[in-house]
Amino acid sequence: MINVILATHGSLAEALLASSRMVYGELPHVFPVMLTENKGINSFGDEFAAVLKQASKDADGVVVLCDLQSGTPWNIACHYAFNPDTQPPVTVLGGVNFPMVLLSDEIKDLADIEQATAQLLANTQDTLVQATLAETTQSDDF
Amino acid sequence: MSISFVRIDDRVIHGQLVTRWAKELPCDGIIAIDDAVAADPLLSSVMKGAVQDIKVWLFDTATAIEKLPKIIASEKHYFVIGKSPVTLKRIEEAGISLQNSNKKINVGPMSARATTTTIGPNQSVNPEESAAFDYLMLRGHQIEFRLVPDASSYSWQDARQKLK
Repeated sequence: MINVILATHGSLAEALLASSRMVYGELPHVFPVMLTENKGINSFGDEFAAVLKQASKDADGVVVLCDLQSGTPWNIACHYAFNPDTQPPVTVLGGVNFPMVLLSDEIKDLADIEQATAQLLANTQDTLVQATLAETTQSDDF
Repeated sequence: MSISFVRIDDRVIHGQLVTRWAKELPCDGIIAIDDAVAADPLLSSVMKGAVQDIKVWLFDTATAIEKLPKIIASEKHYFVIGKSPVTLKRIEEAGISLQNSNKKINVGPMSARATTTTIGPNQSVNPEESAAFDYLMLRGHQIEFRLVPDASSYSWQDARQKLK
């Protein structure tokens, strides 16, 4: 089982989770944690550690979805991801979007964190698209 | 029997949700049925573009009734999605069986509207829709409210209790 942490600047993580529930219902494998202006970086580090502990319970790995590469949530997540003593293993992806959170539902039952992370990233890349019109004629070729 | 999945979804073709189900159940094409959407060429075209790699047909109810026998006779596997249970009721009233290899009618989002009662997360029904669900149940369909394959679910029998 793979769990997911949403780690963001401001309320984006909670908001992404609330939006995801609207479409997919409950997502018990997703845990939000947020860096806020009032609480600052140190407090965020403590909160992240607590959320990671929760997300790690019974998990084969934890994927941290960060809003921005090299922001504070990313830096703190990387501290765990690249520490060989971190158990279960942690991976980090940047640029989280709404489809990525929804697509995490499809990797939660995997056991291999590296495979799960690669699959989630590949699937999410297809979600950045420009709108086009499909052809309107419909064949009877069923 | 070539219908592999029947769903009611008031977004009709909700890109990511449809593709989620298409990963679980065989899907060679999607038959989406709604009079208002089919009458709007722009919306139809936008909706058909919402799903990549899967062929989509969008019909009004009358056309769906005309085409479904051929679709059901096909060797391929089709998803049938109606915007409302009332649409599916009209199809069954026309003598077309929506029995399918998933063995149930799945219900996704149905938005809250003026005369609706909320029965679950993002799922609300009005009296006309309730009557249509009752009809479909009497026709032998199991009706399951479930947004995505792994999500929790409840049946129309369970939901009816909340409407009393």
